[in-house]
Amino acid sequence: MHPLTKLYARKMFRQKLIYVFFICFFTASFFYAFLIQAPQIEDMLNIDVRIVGRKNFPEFMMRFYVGTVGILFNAFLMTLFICEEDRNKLLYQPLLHGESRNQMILSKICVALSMSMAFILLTAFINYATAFMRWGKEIFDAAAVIRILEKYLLSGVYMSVITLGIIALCVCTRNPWKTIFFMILYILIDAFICNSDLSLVQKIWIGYYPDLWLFSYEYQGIPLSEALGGILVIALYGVVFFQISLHRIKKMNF
Amino acid sequence: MEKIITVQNLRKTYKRETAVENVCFELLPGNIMGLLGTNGAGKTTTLKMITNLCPRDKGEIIIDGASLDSNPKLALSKIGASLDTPAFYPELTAKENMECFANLHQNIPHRQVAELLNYVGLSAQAEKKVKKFSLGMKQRLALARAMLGKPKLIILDEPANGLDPQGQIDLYRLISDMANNQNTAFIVSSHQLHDMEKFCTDILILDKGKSILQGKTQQILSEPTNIVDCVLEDTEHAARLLSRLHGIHLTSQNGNHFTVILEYICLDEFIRKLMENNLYIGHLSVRKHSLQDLFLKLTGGETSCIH
Repeated sequence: MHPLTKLYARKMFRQKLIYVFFICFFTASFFYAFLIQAPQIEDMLNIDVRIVGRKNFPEFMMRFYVGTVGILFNAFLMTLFICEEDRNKLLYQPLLHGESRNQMILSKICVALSMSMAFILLTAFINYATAFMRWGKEIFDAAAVIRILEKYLLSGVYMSVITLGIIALCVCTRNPWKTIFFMILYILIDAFICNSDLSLVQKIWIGYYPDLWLFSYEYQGIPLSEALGGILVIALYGVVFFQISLHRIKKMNF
Repeated sequence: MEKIITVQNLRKTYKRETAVENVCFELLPGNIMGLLGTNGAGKTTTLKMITNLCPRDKGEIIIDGASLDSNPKLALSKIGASLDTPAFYPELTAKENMECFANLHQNIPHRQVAELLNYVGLSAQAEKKVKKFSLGMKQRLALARAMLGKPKLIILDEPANGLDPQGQIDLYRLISDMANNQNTAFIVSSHQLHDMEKFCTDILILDKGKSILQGKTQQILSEPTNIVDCVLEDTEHAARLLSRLHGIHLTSQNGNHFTVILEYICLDEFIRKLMENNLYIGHLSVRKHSLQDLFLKLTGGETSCIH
């Protein structure tokens, strides 16, 4: 591993926000697991506990990470990782020690994407752990586990590309609040597009596919064609975000 | 001797504003160049262009024979720099911070971190977290970090900022020692004109992005001024004469010590006039420029003795 990537990974692991967030997520998951069959919760969330509990619980809980919460968490983390470092004059320090701008942003991206995927897997682990505490071994239905893990991995791909987008935003705006503002704007536009009848726009919209996977195919397997089509569109966004980051970093005045 | 850095026709504009225009200079190994200028004169932008932190619009920079355009990695490997306020990972110790950056260099012996911390007088604080450091300690740590890999040229942007007088003296002594003993060249931007005058071998003054004075410090400061200090006997007669003599301006009198500015007459003529008026000259000397006088004169600041 490149020393700069190692340095950034080490820096990332020291972010207290990550630990606070996942402790909160574990607590929420734990309480959901134990309260989900209470009649009040059933009415409040408009859910059928016979479906969302047991083997489907980890899939049900996925929606609380893949979407607004996860996106905002990643946005806060990336602003600390890039904008705050930039503001504190730390971002360019490796350039004074012989590193290139490309290497610097590649190391940042490498750490951020690995973390994005790791966070999704950690979310899966937390949800399975709380489900196991509540229902025991009956959650491990082979077909359901495979189906749910597939969805977690697909969501991981989506969240990684969203993280790439946040990095591109950070590099372009160089301001944490502007970045967060644009991400909130994205979430609003995403909600509008996903709930609209604009089928053509939906087909080319990055946020449409996770919505499709999580809600339209809820507790069902995703057809291969839908999964591949979604991955292709999301990957195209990824390439664009990546190129924007590379292009902007070259022109940045530190 | 091979030049350590050659800068030619450097230019940088931000939108419509020109930050640096046509700046050129050269520096030899072991020399210390003071980069002076008022706030916003273009000092930091110049340093950032040299370190490639700021893309330039025009100009060429060659560092120890390597062009920053065609071989940036090699060129930048010869430079160590500390720009802006010293920035470190606050949660890490001084040693850990140094090691983080040492790892980015190739072939740095493990002991170099300890040696450098010792060199800047921070070995006792090596295991202390940087967030607990004073600004002076951070400045010294920044110097140690800039020295990683033993670069041939070290660039320091206002390194004495926030240091107490003793800290400033220690820092400049450290820089001079390095320049003399290790033949390291330095470019140091600062507002401490008095200190810069004493320890810089070369001076470059920028104003509104343009170079308005550059050269060897000794040469620049050795040029005589038009300010004359003299001790004259018969104080009352001397004061009367000096206050009405054409072509000079009496600026101060302290007993029989007089300071005059020769406005329209030369030194020989002034002395002749004193003698013609039977004034006995106890002592007479022509003042030399101080860097501060020159700086204020060139940048349009207030000055009471340079015309």
